[in-house]
Amino acid sequence: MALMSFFDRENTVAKPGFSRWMVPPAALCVHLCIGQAYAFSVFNLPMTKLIGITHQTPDDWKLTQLGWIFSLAIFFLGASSAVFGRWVEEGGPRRAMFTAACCWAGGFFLSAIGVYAHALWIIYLGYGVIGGCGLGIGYISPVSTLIKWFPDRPGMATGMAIMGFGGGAFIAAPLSVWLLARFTTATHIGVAETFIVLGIVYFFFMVVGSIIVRVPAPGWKPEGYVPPVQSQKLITANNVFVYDALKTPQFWLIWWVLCLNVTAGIGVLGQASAMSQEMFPGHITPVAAAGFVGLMSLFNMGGRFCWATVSDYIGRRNTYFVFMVLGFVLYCLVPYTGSIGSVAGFVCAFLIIISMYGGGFSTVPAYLKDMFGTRYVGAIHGMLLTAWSMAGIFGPVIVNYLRAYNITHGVPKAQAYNNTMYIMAGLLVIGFICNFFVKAVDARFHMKESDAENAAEARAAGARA
Amino acid sequence: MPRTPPKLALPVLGHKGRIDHMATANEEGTTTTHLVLAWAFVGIPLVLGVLQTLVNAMKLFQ
Repeated sequence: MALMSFFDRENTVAKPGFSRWMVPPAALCVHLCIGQAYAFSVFNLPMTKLIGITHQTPDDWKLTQLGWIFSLAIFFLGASSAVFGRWVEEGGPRRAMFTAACCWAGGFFLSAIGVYAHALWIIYLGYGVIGGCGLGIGYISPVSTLIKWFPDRPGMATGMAIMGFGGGAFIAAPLSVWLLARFTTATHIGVAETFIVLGIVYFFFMVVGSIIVRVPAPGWKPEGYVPPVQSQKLITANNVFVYDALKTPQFWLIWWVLCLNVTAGIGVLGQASAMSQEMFPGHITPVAAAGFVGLMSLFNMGGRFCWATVSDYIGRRNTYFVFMVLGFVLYCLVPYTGSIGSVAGFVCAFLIIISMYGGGFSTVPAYLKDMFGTRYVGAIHGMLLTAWSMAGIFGPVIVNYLRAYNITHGVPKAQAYNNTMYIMAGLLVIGFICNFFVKAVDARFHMKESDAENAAEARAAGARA
Repeated sequence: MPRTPPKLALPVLGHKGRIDHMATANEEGTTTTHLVLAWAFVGIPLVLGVLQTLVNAMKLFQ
């Protein structure tokens, strides 16, 4: 019982003397671990040769079958963050982080059994479904806590955590390759053992994060910070209940802004290597293309922190206007860089585009906080992440199918991506229009004092039960 | 009209390396050591990973 109460929100309230700068590392403990999802492709090739060892046999899994593992995980990221968002918000960050650790590590352990038994459905269930739920719960778990600790810089605070999700692959990829090399022998590929070690390491890291994390005491504010008494034009001092937020046009406008920004970025992120080689044949080799993809990942991570921090100064809506306008210009310029053979121009354009893709993720929690208040921002953020799941399907489909269509209609490979770039630019125009219509939430959606008290009582009753 | 956020309160060292942030009564005082350990715990693996990626990315310019 004492162990269970350790996870209660009431027991995570910071005592006097606790530094808020302990909270970002706690959040990073979780986000750096779940960011491994971006590096899952490291296992794809070894998992196609688990039986044949040196070559693929007919009984071995196909790449197309393995591709579903990542897709399932991203789908359940969006679904679980939407379904469990309110529970995460009301149960507190420690309980959510620990649950995420159990799901994430459990997903790896179950996948190890799936590899050992050569049963793909167990891996779908393990990494895809259970691990995907760990992804969703872990992703949203520290968001509202960070916003409450850093009311003077909500963008920077959430940017730090979400930067970790982008950076997790930098740790996971070399670690996984090293572990695979250690466990692989002439007669065995060490995927199952690597999954078990990764599960143990990630569980340890995430539990440390859940132990460190604290929520601020009611009424706490940073030294010297004076909260605005009245709502500013696009920053509310009120709160909106999680399910009431869904009834507002603002939620759906921001949903489309995020979906379109992510669709534009995710499509090129997955195809960057092939695209760079086909647009600049002879200039960009496969090795150089791999370096380009690595550089894009760095800008994806850096953009998450930098753009979210910038949004604290210029405002969230203006930051998304920058994404849409600058993104539009850069997407239109990409075909031109290809036509004049400017590798430097192409690389610069995509690095900025990908930094804005990352920035879109990290700026959105603070945007939601501005619109709907801090009370249910984590849960509302969870609902909004369904836009990511949607974009994860649309983005790659648009890029892949348009390229295939162009090539079958006789367009040279070097120019096959031009239409795609213009379509991406068009999506950003729609995103600009959606962002333009985002206004302050109508006062009828604001929570009354009595609503807040009822919610607090319900939470307390839930905790006692 | 750009908004100017208030100045960010950074950790300030008090007596014996203690971080003074919330109140004078330090019931759960965060020390500099706590902060360094917490940031190193997440920072070292991240920096190593970023350096590894940068080394690989340099191949683009060779």
